[in-house]
Amino acid sequence: MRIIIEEMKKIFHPVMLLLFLVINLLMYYLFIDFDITVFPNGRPATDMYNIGVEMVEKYGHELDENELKDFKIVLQQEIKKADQYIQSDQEFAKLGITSYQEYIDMANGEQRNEEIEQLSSRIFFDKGVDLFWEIPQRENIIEDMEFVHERYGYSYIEGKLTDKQEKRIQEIVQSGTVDAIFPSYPVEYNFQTISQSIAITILLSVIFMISPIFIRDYKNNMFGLQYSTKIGRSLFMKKVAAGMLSAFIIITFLVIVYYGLYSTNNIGIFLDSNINSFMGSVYWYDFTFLQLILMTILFTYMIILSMSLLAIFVSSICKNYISIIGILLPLFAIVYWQVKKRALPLEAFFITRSQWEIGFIYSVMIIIPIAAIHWKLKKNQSTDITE
Amino acid sequence: MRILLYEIRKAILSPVILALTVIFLGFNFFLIYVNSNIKDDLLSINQLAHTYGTEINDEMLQEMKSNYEASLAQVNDITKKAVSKTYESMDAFYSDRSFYVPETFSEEEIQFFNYTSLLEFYYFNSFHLEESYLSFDPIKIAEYEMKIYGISGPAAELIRNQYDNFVERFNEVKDNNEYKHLFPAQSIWDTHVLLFKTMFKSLLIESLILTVLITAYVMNFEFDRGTYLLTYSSKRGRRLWLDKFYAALIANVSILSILMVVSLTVYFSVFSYKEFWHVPISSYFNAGKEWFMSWWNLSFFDYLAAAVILAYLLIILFTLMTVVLARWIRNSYLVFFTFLCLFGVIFINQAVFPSSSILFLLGSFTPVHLILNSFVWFMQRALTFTAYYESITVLAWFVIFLLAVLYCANSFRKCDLK
Amino acid sequence: MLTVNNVSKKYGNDSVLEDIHLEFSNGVYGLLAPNGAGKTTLIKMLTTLLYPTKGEILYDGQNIFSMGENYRKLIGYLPQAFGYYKNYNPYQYLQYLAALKGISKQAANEKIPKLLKHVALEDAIKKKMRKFSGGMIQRVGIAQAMLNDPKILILDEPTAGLDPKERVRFRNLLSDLARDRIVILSTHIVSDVESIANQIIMIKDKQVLFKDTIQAICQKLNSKVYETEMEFEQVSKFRERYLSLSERQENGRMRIRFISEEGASSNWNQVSPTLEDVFLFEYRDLTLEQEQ
Repeated sequence: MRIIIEEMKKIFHPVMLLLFLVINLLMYYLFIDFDITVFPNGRPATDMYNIGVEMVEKYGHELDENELKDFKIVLQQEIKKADQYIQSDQEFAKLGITSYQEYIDMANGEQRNEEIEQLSSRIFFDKGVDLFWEIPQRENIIEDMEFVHERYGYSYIEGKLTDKQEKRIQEIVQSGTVDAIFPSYPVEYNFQTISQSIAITILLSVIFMISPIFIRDYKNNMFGLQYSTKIGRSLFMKKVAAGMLSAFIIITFLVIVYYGLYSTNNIGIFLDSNINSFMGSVYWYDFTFLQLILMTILFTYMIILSMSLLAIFVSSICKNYISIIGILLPLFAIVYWQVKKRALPLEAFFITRSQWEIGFIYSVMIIIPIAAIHWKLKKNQSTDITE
Repeated sequence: MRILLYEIRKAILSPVILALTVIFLGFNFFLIYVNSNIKDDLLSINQLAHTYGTEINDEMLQEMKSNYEASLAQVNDITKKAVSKTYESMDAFYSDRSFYVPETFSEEEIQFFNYTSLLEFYYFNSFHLEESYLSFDPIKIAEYEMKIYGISGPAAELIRNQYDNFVERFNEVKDNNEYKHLFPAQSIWDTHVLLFKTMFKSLLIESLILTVLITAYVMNFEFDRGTYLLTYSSKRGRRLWLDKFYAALIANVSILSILMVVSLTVYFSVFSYKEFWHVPISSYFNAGKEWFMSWWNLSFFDYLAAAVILAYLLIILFTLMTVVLARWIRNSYLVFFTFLCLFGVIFINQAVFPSSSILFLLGSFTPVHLILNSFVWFMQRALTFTAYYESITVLAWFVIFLLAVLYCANSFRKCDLK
Repeated sequence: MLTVNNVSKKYGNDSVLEDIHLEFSNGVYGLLAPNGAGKTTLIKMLTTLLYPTKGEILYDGQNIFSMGENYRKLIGYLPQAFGYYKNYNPYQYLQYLAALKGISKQAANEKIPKLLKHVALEDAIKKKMRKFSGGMIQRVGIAQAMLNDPKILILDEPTAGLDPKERVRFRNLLSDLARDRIVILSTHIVSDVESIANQIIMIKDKQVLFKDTIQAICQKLNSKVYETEMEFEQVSKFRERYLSLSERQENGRMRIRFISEEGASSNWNQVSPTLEDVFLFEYRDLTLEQEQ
């Protein structure tokens, strides 16, 4: 353990820590900040979020039939309020509109009506009247719920469903899981982008800190001394352990910081909702939102730890710093692309993602670094240290 | 000269640099490959331009019209036989969902349909060209951009002061008929984005990465290998630092040339621009979402040449920047990451200024902003309110970095080498 | 007792050492050979960094490679150009190596100040090593080698960078240490080992040339070393016939020390051979070969 701590001291070199801080500030500012300070992002995201909160507070995490009826009544009340608003508004009067329904009919009418458009723009964007934003969203929610058998899951899958997908959708609908109240837009979308940005940021930070682990000793001509001490060539594994432990500490620290910041997004109320909601997406597993977050974090650990191991391996075979960067750069690009496109849980658990494919990606990601380190370890045991 | 060659060799023959160059080239080919689905369309458009010339005028429109009408009549003959219907336009034909085109018609017929519909698209749009162009209002566009970025106060004032130039250029394009030319329409084929954003941005970022790596490697080579006492005490002495500087410059420029020449050669052999080299870049068909005309009357070829020159200047600028860093940081790993941080800091500098401040606008006058926005180079935009945005940026930063490099060269000559 | 048994080492197809037989018991051994003769290779095998291509190295009858850390904890090693971290001070550096050597933190805490005092670095204990002179670094290296109170102390060119005063001090230290341990000192500087080595090992043509006491080795040149004086003009001609060992000017004439295997001339003074004479004599061809 003492050796590991000594090795970790070298990893947390003050200059490296300083750059680590700068990198994180920049990455936070460029990629994470937006999803935290601007959530929910504009309208109707804000309205969806508010309605979601209202529903959970009133009905709990699931919407049953009676509650749906109640929800419809609320909609009617809202429409009445809108009627009152319209009746008391001069501009509507000028156009001869007396109810919300009339307004909607005119706005959606076949013919373009300049005056209605201008009025809509004033109501929606200049005045930002909540009622007019919320009513269509409430209508959508009711529609989604009423047509859940026909529509759920099909709307965003391109092409034909496989039997498995079909079965999974039926299972969710039949079991009633689908009644879950979880406004996937904007809550899930926000989480998706932010969890990706966080993963990339942590990945970059960790790789930056860990990569010099072996080359630092090589450049300082330490090998002869190190390998002739009592610990000898087992130092290799100690260093790998020190690297992985450091990676783990950095990931944990950054996960706490960034997910701590994420928690200020006020999504706490949805943590216990099932993510397979009629308001959103289909997943292969019955997770609650909290479980989804935890799985995301777990996978973040997995991706970054496996990349750290790879970085440690690269460090042990490179003779200069430029090579390390040159080799890690394309690898980083591949993982970045994986995270952006498919590998992080939100997508990984999606019904559109074959679980075989995801399993394969993760297996490769875990096996390759371990095999590489294993190879290097074996080689290290039997080769001459000539440096 | 010999010293210079030795220094260049250190960089170019480094296996990592070579491997990265090959990977980057491979990536560029991949980009071309995934977008190659438009290459047949481009061929047809070239053919069209060949038939009618690229200049849009009454005579040409007349010719197009008669050909189009003849073609449409032929189409209707075919459809009459097959589905006993006739159509007013190809648009109407393709909107008809009562039959499945590939099953109903032969390959040859479908090709003819496609040709006719292309002709229709270009004829209709060319016919309404003047109207469409006049519907642009540079001031309105600028005001809209300013609203999006929330620019107000003195900054907005500064931009508005330039409106005369905006309008003047707009009228110039109108009067000299720069906009009246055929070109692959951006709304459909997006070639401008493909070439100047996708391809150029990749080229620039790739070559930027290599630039930083090579420069850090070359400048710190002796410190890295522990040979600095030897080399800097040789007859050449500290002047070797300058040799290394030139070597880095030459290596970076060469690598950019390799990437450019190979990638663009492949690009232009896949995507045909045969008829369009001399079409003005401000052609109405080349207008996209974020640009619609350039500040100067440039042909496509001129524009491409200007973009290539600017790319070289930027790479040289970033070489200077890395040289300055490598003078003070002897570990090339830290040079690379410090460079990344510096790049990021320059990129977000505007966050420090309120969007009403003129400094906010000047904050985008950086090589970082330039390198990330290659597709709007030389284009009229509100945020980069002057026609000389690129020149001012490059010139100003050249002065800054040249002075910095000079200072570094001087300080290196006088510093202690322990 | 450390035994090198029939050891050969090849790098690929290049043979560096062939059939080396050596035995070490307590005392100072001077490993004396020109650069490139395989000294460092031998030493690296003794420290388990290199594996012999053939043969074995035994400590008290056990193969050192199978002993593993039980062997390595007995050795102290100062590599030729050894590494250190510029931002560490000697205390941190020695603590780090103590960890690698399996010395407890407390023990190291007691030991480090003493060792640093031994090498006269007690004032620099908290100074970053980037500010150290070559001699200071070398002394930290020596301290490091003695950190685990080794049974076998292996020093590769340890006096490089030390000034004459430090060298004397260092030699005394070694004689002290050698009473109850094996000290192997590799060098190409004859005076380093002349006064303290119990035995000298010379390697030539990939093999052990001598392993003997200094007297015994010098014996080989008995009545072959002479000194004489002559005019400057004659020197070059003289050199062609005899191997000149050293030359210095004296009273406007040249005084030459040389080897003659043919017997004496009248104006030659026979002198008693030194280790340096043997060294120069034995490796005379090698230097020529290398120059060509």
